[in-house]
Amino acid sequence: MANGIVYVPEDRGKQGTIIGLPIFQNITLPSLGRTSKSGFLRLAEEFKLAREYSERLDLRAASLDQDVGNLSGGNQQKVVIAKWLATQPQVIILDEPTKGIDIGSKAAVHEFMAELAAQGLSVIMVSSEIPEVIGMSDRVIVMRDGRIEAELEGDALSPETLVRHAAGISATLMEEA
Amino acid sequence: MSDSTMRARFVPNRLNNRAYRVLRSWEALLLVVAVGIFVLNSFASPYFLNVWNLSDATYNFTEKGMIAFAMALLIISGEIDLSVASIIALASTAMGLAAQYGAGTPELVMIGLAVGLLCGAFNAFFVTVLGLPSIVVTIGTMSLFRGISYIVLGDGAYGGYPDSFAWFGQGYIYWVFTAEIAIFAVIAVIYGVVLHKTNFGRAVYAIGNNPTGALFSGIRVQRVKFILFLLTGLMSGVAAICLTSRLGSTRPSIAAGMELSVVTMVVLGGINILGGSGSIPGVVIAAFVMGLVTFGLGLLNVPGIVMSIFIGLLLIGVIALPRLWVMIAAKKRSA
Amino acid sequence: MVLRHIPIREAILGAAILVLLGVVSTRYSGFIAPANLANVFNDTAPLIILALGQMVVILTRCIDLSVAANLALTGMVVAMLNVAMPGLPIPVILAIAILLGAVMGAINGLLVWKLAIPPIVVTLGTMTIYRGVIFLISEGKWINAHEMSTAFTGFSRAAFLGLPVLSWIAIMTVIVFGMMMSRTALGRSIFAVGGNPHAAVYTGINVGKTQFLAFVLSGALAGLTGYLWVARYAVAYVDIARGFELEVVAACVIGGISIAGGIGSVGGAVLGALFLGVVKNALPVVNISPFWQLAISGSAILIAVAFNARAGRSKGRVILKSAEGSV
Repeated sequence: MANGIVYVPEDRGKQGTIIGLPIFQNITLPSLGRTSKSGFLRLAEEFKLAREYSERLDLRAASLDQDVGNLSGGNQQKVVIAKWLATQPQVIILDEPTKGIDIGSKAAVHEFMAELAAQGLSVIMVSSEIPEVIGMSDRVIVMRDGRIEAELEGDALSPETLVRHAAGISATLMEEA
Repeated sequence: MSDSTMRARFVPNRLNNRAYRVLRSWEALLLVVAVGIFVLNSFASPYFLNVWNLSDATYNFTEKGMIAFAMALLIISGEIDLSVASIIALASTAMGLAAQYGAGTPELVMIGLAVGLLCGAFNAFFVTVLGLPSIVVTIGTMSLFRGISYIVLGDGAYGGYPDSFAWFGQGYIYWVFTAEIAIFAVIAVIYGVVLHKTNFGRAVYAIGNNPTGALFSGIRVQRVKFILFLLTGLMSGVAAICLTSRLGSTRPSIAAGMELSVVTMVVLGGINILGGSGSIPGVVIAAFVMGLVTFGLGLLNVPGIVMSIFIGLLLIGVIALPRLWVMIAAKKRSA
Repeated sequence: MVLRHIPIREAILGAAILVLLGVVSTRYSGFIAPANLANVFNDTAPLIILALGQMVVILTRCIDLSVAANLALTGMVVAMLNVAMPGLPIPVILAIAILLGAVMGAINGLLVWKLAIPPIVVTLGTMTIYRGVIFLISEGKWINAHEMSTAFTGFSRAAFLGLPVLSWIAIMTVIVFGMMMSRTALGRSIFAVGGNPHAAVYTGINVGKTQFLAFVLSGALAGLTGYLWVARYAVAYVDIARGFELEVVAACVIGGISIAGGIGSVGGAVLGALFLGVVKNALPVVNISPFWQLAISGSAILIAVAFNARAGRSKGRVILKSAEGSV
């Protein structure tokens, strides 16, 4: 966190949101250093920050004071992303960001990630969905058994090469088949 | 169907205004109960509405209350400390020992606080560093701390405290207001501010609701919990100073069973025993309620051990009744 | 089924007890004389019985701090019964004691099962309530030896094959519980509930009901021990067995029973109790004042819990593996 690298976890419920706390508190939690003054909370600043990012992500909720547990999966994910964006990072790592989210929100998250990249943020996405990987990425690093297997971009980036590297099948076998 | 190209939808800060939220809170209910008991007491006994008696009555809750504030934060964070009464015993024994060697009041205060802090650190070590469950650790230290007092004091008692030491437990700062109620008030304010107005307090709530989530959000969970145990030990030390000063003597059995009253006070104050929610004002009102109940019973000459039946019933009732209510309401709805 | 030799934790504990006995016998060789050892066992019998009850409760992820109060209240009730009706036969008294204890345990169990109140809160509360009730029914008065019938006090001391009845009852309880935990469905459910409550539900086990039954068992044993205690010490008053619940929990923890539930054994509970019993009886022999006892059981809890955690979760019967939630 200190180096401007933030991580949006795969396990949204356990590692991402803090259910029981309201939305705005979830969003401001890592950024309390900026919203508070000498350790004392400033609610007005917190609401301001939470509003800024929840509007950017088009969050659907009854109020910012609402328990984050009442939101849908997609909106909870938005809260988590908002939380980390609010820290103004340089690199954001998203681990399975669209897992378990409905199609509409999925598209919104993708659109948003593209916007982030366009704004100069380095976005690293961890995903096991091939279409998502191919559609979103400029460059793909395939890992197998904890090791980097290949780095693909441009023309080399296709579903077949992806799967081949991920499964460790050599090129000659594929051509024979 | 993306709205982001249009004006972003408006999400209000809050749905309800402050008055609404306050009125519907546990604290408000408790306040009504407190007033009710006050009225009941004034009918039950002619001695109740005497200012000096009421002033004396505050001793029923001040020492327990001091610890309850620290305990509240600890329970909100998801831990518990059952050794607080034993910390009082050990701190009191240490102070008594020092008094035998001629220590003066300032030294005694330092010793009391130091022993409290050390015991708190001891608990903190086992829970945060070794990662053991606080329930079992504090059941162990509950025996250990008081056990050490027994080893030192055996069957006897320490007396012989310097005269100036008596101020804490027996002195007054102004008219009927005792030193203890003043200390209680100061501690209440400090803890209230810390829990409700600082980053630290926010961290405590976060940890209580989701320790993993809090950790992943950059909160140093173990460090916060360590501090909370230290504070609980420290407050036990403060309570030890007050109690010892009030009694003027020390026995190893001092404050026996007080941990039950403290936990009851915290739970009565609306703090969820499983962690994550509750407020300091709630604990303050709960302290008053328990003080009123025990004082009222005392005026009716109810013996202490019978009084503790009420405390036990209160503890269980406070948690059971809301759940019963919900269950009955659900049954009615489905019927 | 894997043929299990004596598991390592129990072996270490057993060895520790033997070492302790050895050390004490150097000071006073009479300590390990069979008669004395029998004495120590008899003295520890109440702890063994209660530890078995507590074991069952802790295995289901609960805790029962009310056992000592339960014991004291039942003891007082049967003592008062005996004073009022000296002719009441012992088996009837035993039945009443067990039943009363079971009822008190059932109260705990119901609050945990039906109202989902955390066991620590429930038993902290009932602990003080039961103690207070003793005062209410006895008006603070003691019942002394001369008021009890000889049959009443004599029963637990009656010798049978060289051991007093009290010891035999402890032995029988160990055997019954040993069989229950390893051979019955209830025993298996208890382990399952503690090891993985979510999965237990999917196998059709009612978690709450199992916990309820655990409390009833613990209470019944406490009731039984209540009679045995007042009969053996021939006195009944409000404060008997004060603080004993802590020793019972200590015995379980030392015996390797994990507070997180699901891990532990009958052997462990018994050895844990014996360990504490030997220590308690050894203290006067090596000239350490009995006032050390509280601190010793406290430290024993701390050391045992720390040791338990280090040893990891490889012990105990893993009925339902914890697949979920493993990070």
